[in-house]
Amino acid sequence: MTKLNWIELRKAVAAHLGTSERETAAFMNALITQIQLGLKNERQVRITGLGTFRLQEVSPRKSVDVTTGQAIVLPGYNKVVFVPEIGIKELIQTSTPTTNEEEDTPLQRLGKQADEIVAIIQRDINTAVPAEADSQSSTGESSEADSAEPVQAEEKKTEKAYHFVRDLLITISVIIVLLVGCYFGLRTGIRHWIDDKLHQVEQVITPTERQETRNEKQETRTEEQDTIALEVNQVEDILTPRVYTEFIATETVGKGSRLAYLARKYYGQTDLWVFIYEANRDQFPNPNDIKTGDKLRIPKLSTEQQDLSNPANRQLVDQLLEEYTK
Amino acid sequence: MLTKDLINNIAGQTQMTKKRTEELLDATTHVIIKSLMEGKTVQLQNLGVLEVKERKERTIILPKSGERVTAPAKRQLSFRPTVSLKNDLKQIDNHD
Repeated sequence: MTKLNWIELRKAVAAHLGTSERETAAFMNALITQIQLGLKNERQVRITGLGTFRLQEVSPRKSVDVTTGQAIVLPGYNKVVFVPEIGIKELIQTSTPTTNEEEDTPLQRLGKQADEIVAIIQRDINTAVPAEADSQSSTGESSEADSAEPVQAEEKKTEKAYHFVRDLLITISVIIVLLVGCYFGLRTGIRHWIDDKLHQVEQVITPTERQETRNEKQETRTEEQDTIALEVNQVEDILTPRVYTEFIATETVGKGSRLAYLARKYYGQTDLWVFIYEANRDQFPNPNDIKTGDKLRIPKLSTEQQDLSNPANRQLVDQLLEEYTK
Repeated sequence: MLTKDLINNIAGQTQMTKKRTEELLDATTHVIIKSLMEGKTVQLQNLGVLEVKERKERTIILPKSGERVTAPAKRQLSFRPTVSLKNDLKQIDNHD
């Protein structure tokens, strides 16, 4: 925040009123001494159009000495306060500080630059006509002036042309920057839009079709990634549900019972509920929509399937979780 | 002390006319307020500093209804006396 110091204030007042600085200085020094005296003698000084300086009493209060723990009394004292006039207070409240150039946003700065360019061009256009008229009118005068004036006019012209080209270049570069910005903005916008649409279309396509598209994608990928082919095969298997032939139990869904509880009960791992759900998927289209009284068959899982420390299996379970909780 | 007394006193001290003093006082307050509105801090020598402080918006509880309300951000005029003035006036006891 900028500061208006004493001397600057004095100069500003002198300039505002058109008085000499000496007179202003004498006045302002007297003003300060009178305010001080007023505070001292009458405890308050009211200045219309600004506010009131006042001496406010702070009464003595009890406290405790932090080092000894003894109760002490802090003596009362006066403090100087300033209360602005109501109108002034509101004026300040609604005022907006003049912003510094650093605080401008890039767009504001561009706008300002554009304004400046326009001003420069206009000035050039305005000055161009009088300059020519000058050189023409002076031809009828003395020969010395004749020889001097055209050279000046020539110089002015080249200078003018230079200014014009410079301003033109600045304008063009600003426009190019703006266009490039718009282009990139639109491109990312459109890409997002297309992605959204594709996503919607993908949801519409039946699972088997999706399977095919996925397979296609993966085929292209496997060419590069022979080493992790095994893993990829497993990923392919995800949407073809595993066939469960052996069941270790049949559970009737009770109150408060959830797939995750059953998974913990039978396999010790809550995440493995996906397998239970998968085995009963033909009856329940939605894993969140299983009611009390429904019967669930608990499939027998191989040790591999139960082992979540195996990264391949972990990945499979994660993908199933993602698939079923969509 | 009211503005009228202040003008009288200053005129007495500087041997200026009261009218001139009043003009000068008006001009001074005008310049001070204008500078403050521009966001400048105004230094008054041997007296203190006037400045505009930004107060952030905050939640207040209305004592009447116990309602929580957001008090808007505002700009407030504040005065900070110089250390010497503060100390000079600390122990004065002259109640009317």
